[in-house]
Amino acid sequence: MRCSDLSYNLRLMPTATLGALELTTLLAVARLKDEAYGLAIKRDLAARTGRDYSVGALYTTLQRLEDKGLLTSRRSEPLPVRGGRSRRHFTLTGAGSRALREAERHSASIWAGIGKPLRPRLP
Amino acid sequence: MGSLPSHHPSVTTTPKTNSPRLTEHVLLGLGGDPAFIVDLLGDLSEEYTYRSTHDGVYAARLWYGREVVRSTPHVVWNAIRHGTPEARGRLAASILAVAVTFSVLTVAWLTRNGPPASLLVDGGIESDGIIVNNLGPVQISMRVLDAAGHRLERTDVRYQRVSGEPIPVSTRGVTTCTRRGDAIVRASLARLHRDFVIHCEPVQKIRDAGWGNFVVGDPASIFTVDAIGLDGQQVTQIAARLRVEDSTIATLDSSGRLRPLRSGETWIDVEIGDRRAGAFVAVYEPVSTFEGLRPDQRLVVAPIRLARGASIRWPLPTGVFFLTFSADSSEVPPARGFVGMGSSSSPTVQSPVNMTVAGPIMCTRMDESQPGALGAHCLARAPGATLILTYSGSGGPNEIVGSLALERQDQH
Repeated sequence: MRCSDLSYNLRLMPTATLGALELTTLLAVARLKDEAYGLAIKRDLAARTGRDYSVGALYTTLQRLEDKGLLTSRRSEPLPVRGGRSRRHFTLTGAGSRALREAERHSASIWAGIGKPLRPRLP
Repeated sequence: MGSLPSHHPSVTTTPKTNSPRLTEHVLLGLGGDPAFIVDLLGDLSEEYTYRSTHDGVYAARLWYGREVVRSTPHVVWNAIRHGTPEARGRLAASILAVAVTFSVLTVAWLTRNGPPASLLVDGGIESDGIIVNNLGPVQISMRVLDAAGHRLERTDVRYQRVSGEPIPVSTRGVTTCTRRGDAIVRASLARLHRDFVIHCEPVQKIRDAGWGNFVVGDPASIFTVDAIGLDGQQVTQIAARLRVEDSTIATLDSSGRLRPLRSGETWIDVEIGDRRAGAFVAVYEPVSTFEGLRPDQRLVVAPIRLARGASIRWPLPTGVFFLTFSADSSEVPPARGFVGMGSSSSPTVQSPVNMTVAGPIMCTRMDESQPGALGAHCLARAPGATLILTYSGSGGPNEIVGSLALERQDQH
């Protein structure tokens, strides 16, 4: 089952809701820890969901998650190569961690009572 | 869950060209969020470098272009959200310019003309050639099309008679039909050739195109004209131009079928070659009786069914009008003898169908326009005029079927 197939619309904060791409992006940031920058997140999403999101779509989502207070970002030092650039690294905030836990609980609750034959195999 | 291994954890991030700097400047000028733009372009550049090393420059460029196209809506949305009013204005102008340019290029691409690819006979009603009914010189014209079917304006098509009737055809395509017959002519343009037939059928005169009476709701019927050739014989192949004066009353379709639409009278112009003629068309409104006709009902027709010895009495409107009875069956002898003067009337000649009038009306019999028809021109000065139609003959069928038409002459 692909994470993007799930559609979560959890009310995390009075003004924020979490969509499928937002959830998968949050999970990728949580997984990648210190290596959570744009291209790494993009590759992680492609590997786990099978979908090749555009760079524009990814940064729009990251920016939205940052606006919601679920992510925070910092700039790295420029890479030690000619023309090297600084990368923006993303980190889960406390609200982001709570949102992931809430999503997991919500997922468990909506699957509760469903027998094994109907239940898809999670990766 | 551990992190996935990075493809190139210490990738060299050499910018592709100087264009990212320019792109960055442009996108920032259009109102994009600086962090968003810098990160996006940086990632594109980094991935491009990686891919050009591993997959080749061509594949990397392909990916880069695809990624730019896919990211454009997000960049635009970002600029809309974060831009100042001035930047949004620039963005709108840029989008408009791109849209207009794209539209112009698309239209130019779709409508571009290619080299001549085919020759078609212009104005021919047959696929293999044209019919010429003119007595005077006629200019033949060909449609020159490119491979996409666009018409090209070319005047350098050349013509030559190949076989058939020895009619004169100039290299410019002017021909004169002085006799009946077919000739094969070749049109040439560079390496393109097209053989076609000129059907020479010169028309000397158009016999009276006649007139027709139709009823609203009737099915469409073929409009026929008689054209006579130089030899005095009827011309069998005609390329005619027909035009209905008032197409709200009747219309002519491309196959020459006339369809009556509403009651009224109109005129059809007939043009064959360099000859012209006309035809009068009257369309009648069907009614069941003449009783209670409105003033605007100027052309009406009612069906008549009369058993032997029976008669009908219908009130007539006031004013000046024509009355015409027509039998549907050819078995009915011609209706003859009609007169109605003043307050009394009587048939002048013994006939199986008699039409008389009574009351304040005066009628004059008209010449028969067709067998079995009976017509009269009437003036009803006051209400109370009555029409009496009687089938009293001893011969013929037991019942006659026909129609009675009324055509008002006065202005309402």
